[in-house]
Amino acid sequence: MKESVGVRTLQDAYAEYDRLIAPIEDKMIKAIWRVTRNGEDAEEALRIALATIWRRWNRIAGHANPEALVIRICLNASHDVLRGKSRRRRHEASIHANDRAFLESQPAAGPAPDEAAVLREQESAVLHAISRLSHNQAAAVLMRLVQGRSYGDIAQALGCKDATVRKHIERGRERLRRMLEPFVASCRGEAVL
Amino acid sequence: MTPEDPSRDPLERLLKKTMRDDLPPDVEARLRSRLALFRQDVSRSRPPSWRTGWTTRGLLRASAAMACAALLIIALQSLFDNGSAPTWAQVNAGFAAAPFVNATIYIKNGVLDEPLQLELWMSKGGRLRMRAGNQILFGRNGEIAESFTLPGTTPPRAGVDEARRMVQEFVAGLGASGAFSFETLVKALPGKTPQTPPLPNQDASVARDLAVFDMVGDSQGDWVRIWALRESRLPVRVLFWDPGRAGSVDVLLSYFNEQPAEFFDPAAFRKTIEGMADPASQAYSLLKDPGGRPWSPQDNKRPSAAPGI
Repeated sequence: MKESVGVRTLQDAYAEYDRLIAPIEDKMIKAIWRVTRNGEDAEEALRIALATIWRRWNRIAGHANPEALVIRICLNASHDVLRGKSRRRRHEASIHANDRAFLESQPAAGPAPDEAAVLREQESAVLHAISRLSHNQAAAVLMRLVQGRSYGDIAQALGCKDATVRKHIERGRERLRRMLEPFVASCRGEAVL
Repeated sequence: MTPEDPSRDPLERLLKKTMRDDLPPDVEARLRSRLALFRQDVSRSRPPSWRTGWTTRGLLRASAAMACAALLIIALQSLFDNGSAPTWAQVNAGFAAAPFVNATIYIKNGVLDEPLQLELWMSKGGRLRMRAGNQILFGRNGEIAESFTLPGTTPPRAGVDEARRMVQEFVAGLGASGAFSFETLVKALPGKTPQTPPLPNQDASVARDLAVFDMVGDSQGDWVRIWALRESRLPVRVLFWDPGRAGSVDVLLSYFNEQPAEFFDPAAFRKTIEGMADPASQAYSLLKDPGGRPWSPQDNKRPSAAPGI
């Protein structure tokens, strides 16, 4: 079967990358790191995200809010990694290793051992809880609560209405609150103090 | 106060506290390398959606006309537009993303001195091989794994000690960072590397497709100039210049596809050179030219696989 190709030069390709991806590289990296919190997982999430970006290049290029869409793709990829193979044990092991390395490198400035253990447990629980949410709930909650994006931005990224976004956030928030009750309570305590 | 107020909502505070933005520099470097590699991939081939199903002659003609128009526009643009120059960080990321780098280094201590030539090959994972004079060195994980003296050869009169120090510093630097680092390469060059950060020098090149960076030294006037390609952001030349004695270190960089693993394996090297008589075949043993051309006398005896030969 004959196939001809569309017109696209090397310069076009670089220009498209520089227009769509280069200005938000920092945001992509940070979005992935915040969810994965582990070097290997972050690389894996970025690999998955870039494969998706590659497949949906035209959609991203023509999207009303390409940045929000790319960030959503990054969050979905990170979420997939979190939910992936033996996530619980793997995360705990890597988080322990990260904390050990951090504590060893900064013995004077780092948190006390008890505090580090609490942070570790808290981090592990939060990541696990996020991994239990649906894709849309996780993306909506993270984009709103962690990144502080507007409902409009999130709606464009998810391809739904503002009201649906609010519903995703409300449900995601409720599920997280239930799963993270002890940690939320301790944060409530901090607020009171 | 609404439950979503960041100052009051404990869940939001918990998420922000946990999912903090404390990205370690080594992870950031790896992610940036992957993005730089992706940028290269975007240019190499098209995503599926860029392929079209056009089969009719008319559409083919139309696409050819569009191609001509696009090329004309690009040519006109390039006449009037210098394009955006890469930043130093992007040049570093471009270098880090390369699968295999070959650096040919010429060291000259004075204007009338014969230059000493070194050849350095580096690959992902901190693997390194170098020819310094009549020595072949293999490096990995921050250490020189093994060095060979080519049998029946004599070392150059001067410069090998300096070269060896450079290799040691470079191997150690690679081992510490665990990845390609252009800055490590520049710092390991013989001579006193200027302390200032590299700054773009737009007057130093008339070529539109080259970006130039300068690092300026102390009062002695030493400086380093780096030429990088604008589109691919790959550095292609580094010149360290000492005007006090007209000494120089000139590094020419080229980029290959990945070489076979045994190229960096000292044991495979030892085994391969056993039956070889000439030093050129020994020095370049297991090196495959990416264009399929013969590289060493040994390769020259075999029929070439390169097109056009």
